Amino acid sequence: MRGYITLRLVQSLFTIFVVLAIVFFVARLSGDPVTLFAPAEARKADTDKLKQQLGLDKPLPVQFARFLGEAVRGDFGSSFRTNQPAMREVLERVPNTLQLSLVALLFSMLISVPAGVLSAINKGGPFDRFGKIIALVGQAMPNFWLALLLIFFFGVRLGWLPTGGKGGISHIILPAVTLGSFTMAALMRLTRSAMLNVLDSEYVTMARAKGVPEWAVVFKHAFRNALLPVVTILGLQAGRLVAGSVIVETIFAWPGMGRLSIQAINSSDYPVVQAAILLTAASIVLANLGVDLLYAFIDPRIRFAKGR
Amino acid sequence: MTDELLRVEDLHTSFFTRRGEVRAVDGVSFTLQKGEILGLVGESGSGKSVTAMSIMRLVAPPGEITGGRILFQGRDLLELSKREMREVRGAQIGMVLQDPMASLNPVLRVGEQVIELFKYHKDKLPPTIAPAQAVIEQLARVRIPAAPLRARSFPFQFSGGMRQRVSMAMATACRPELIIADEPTTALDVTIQVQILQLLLDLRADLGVSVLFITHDLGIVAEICDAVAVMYAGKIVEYGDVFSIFKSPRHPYTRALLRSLPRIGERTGRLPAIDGQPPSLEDLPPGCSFAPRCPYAIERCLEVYPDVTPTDAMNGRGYVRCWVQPDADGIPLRATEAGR
Amino acid sequence: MTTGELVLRRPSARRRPTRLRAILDLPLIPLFVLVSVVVMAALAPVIAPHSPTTQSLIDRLTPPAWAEGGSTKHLLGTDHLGRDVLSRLIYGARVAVAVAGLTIAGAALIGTFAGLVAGYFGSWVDALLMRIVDIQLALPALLFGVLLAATFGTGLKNVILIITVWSWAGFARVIRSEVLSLREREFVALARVAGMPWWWILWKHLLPNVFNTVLVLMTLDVAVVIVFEASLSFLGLGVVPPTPAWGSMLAEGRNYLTVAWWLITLPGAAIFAVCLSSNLFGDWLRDKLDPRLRQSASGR
Repeated sequence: MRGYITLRLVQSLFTIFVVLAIVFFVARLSGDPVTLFAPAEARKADTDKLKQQLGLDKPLPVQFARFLGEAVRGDFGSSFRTNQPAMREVLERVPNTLQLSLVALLFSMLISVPAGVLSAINKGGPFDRFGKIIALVGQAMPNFWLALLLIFFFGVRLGWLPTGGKGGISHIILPAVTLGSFTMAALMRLTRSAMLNVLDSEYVTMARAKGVPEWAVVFKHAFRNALLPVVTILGLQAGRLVAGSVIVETIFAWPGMGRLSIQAINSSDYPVVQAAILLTAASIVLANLGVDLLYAFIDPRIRFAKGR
Repeated sequence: MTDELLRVEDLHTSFFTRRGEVRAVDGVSFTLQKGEILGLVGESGSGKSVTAMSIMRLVAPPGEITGGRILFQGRDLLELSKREMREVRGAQIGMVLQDPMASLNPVLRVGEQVIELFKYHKDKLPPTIAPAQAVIEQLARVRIPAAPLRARSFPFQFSGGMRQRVSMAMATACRPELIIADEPTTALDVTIQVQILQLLLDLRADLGVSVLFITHDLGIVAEICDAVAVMYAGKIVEYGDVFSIFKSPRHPYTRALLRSLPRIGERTGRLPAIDGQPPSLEDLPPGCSFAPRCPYAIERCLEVYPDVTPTDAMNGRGYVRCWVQPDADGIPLRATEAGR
Repeated sequence: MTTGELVLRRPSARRRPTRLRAILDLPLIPLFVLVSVVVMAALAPVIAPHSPTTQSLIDRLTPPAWAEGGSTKHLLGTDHLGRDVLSRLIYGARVAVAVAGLTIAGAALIGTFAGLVAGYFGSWVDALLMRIVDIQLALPALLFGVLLAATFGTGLKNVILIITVWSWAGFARVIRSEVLSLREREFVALARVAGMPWWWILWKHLLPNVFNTVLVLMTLDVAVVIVFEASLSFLGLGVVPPTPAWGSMLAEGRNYLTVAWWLITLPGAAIFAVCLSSNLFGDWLRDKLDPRLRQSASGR
């Protein structure tokens, strides 16, 4: 297991490195940042001086090395807009995004997993059919549409919930539901098929043949095994949640990383863009890594495997 | 006070699929005495596994038991409530399945899986022993070395033969009266097979347990079974004690089966396989299911399914279902023209 | 199951499909929706009642015909600039079809080729390609799409390019695992022994076998691509106004949410309908062609 963890860590670091490289080179490819993002009325002398200051007159590999060095220390320069250190701006928003993603994930899991299990047990029955429809709808619905519809019904028409900004619990409900809907649908389908697969297996029959009561068969035997593929997908979904927060945060004016990224991109605030993208990618990579580790922990075959 | 433990009467189990009704078990009857080992023999698809599952009432949808009685110690299992049946499973009837790897839950420790027997059948646990201790003793009883360590291990850390021993440990933990073993040795090496079979015999000697042994391997039947029931296309075609059946098989299918076994020392040009294919259960021909392949078939065989003809095997319990029987003087059968 | 219920039962009521339906067994409604969208896109100038870009301040924010204040002149109402919603929807289908069609075709081509090559040759080619795929799949798609759009510019052409660059990875990964299992089969070994060049084997032997998978992936990808494009348009980084696109219609309508519900409901419904239909169609296709895919595709 230790070898497995090391391998995954190395892979993750490599991925982050590549992200940094991509972020760096993308902007350079279309012209140097100063010319691209500086205000239109800047004079050439000024831009030249700025370029020199930022070291943009040096050859590309040197720039990259410098960039990497600074990035490792967390220095991404200062925001063009606010002149605050870019990384700090982003880090301030991170807890908000995390909070939203976590609530969304919790919401989707709390509904989808029991629903998936029940659908599998009730296969072909009314609950199963209902669940299937919900899953289909959830996976086909674009999240910005859902957001607007929810705002319209719950915010405008019914006036029950606030439609924007961060505040108390009522503020997080709509964004979290929107963000979690796709994941909920995908997880429900997956849980259902994983359960069906497992319920078909011989050890489940064996458990019944031992006289184990049905509820124990379902939860102790079937469910734990069905969890394995579900957990794998959870990782992918966790990443998707962070990525999807971009739109949801924008619509609901939620002060998170995603919203900041969009604002920064629109206002050409290059340092912040770099920092934000890096952090987003890093959190996705971390989420995937976390899930892989969790999987290794749950599946004794990996946990106790002798070194290969 | 009878010696009879299990009586299956005219059992019918069908699968209702999109393509129609598949009669997997089509009127099966046999009995099992206390301490008897009965071999249920047949090809794949003959209905032997479904029979076993039916006795346990573990037939999965779209399968359903559609008729008959299963009398276990006098009680009709088909009349029991779900809860009562659950109490029977594991405690009074134990089961061993074919694939030892698949029978064990991969994410639970072996000890956890064995202890379930005691957890859910509390009355079967001897009052003076803690469940964990009982588990270790049970594992030791099936000759698993280092039982305390093994109990904490996971199935993937065991070899195939040991896993099957674990299955047997689970099947016998509550000292059931009957063990149903569905091809328990098919997936194992021959050397391990012998050990498992010996284990079964020892269990019978120690606990007086009866065994319903399902297999397609006649060699094993000859080794350990007291009685044999031969199944074909959902019905039992011949039923009797091991000696009678092996010495003078009455049903053409049984004869063909026995003849197809290669014998050491004999060198025939071709192995005498049975011509033709087993019939599709969705599309059974009228009359005897074996008739199309039978070298002795007469016209009647193709029209009407043979009635049960009792034989003197097993004090009249035995029977055969065939229209073409040796005559009263015991003159052996000859192939008829119609049959070729 | 007690013997009380002994009476032999007939197979539980299952409609025996008529012969024609059994042969076709097509999911009619999804297919109808998809075909309609394509037809709309193709015949837009002919079917649209008005021009999608004509503004009319008098007519602004009129509700759909069935609501109070609506008229048959604008069946689905008008937006904040007085433009006819129905016509904009119809023209918006053009963008959707163009983007979906071109990106999926491109992604399928590149991705399948990459998957074939990676799976067949193995070793460093495989390792390299799969590293790229893994990294790409681990990154936030929308965010990068936004970044690329902001850097390289907006507009239909760029959108198509960006989404294509993003989608090929999914194809490559699935096709590669298919090839890995196909590679060991006899017909491939025979071809190699016979001295066939690699491109021949890929083209004649492997490609036809993965083709079904590619088809299914393409259908299932439609929803993803359309939502991606709509998201970009929603954020103002997709198709340039005044070209109508469903996503940008939603963005514009957002500001008038309180007074003009139809401006968000209708374009959103269009997107939703297309996504749902293509998902259903893709599921059906997968069931028909290749049930094995169920596991791998659910990972996307």
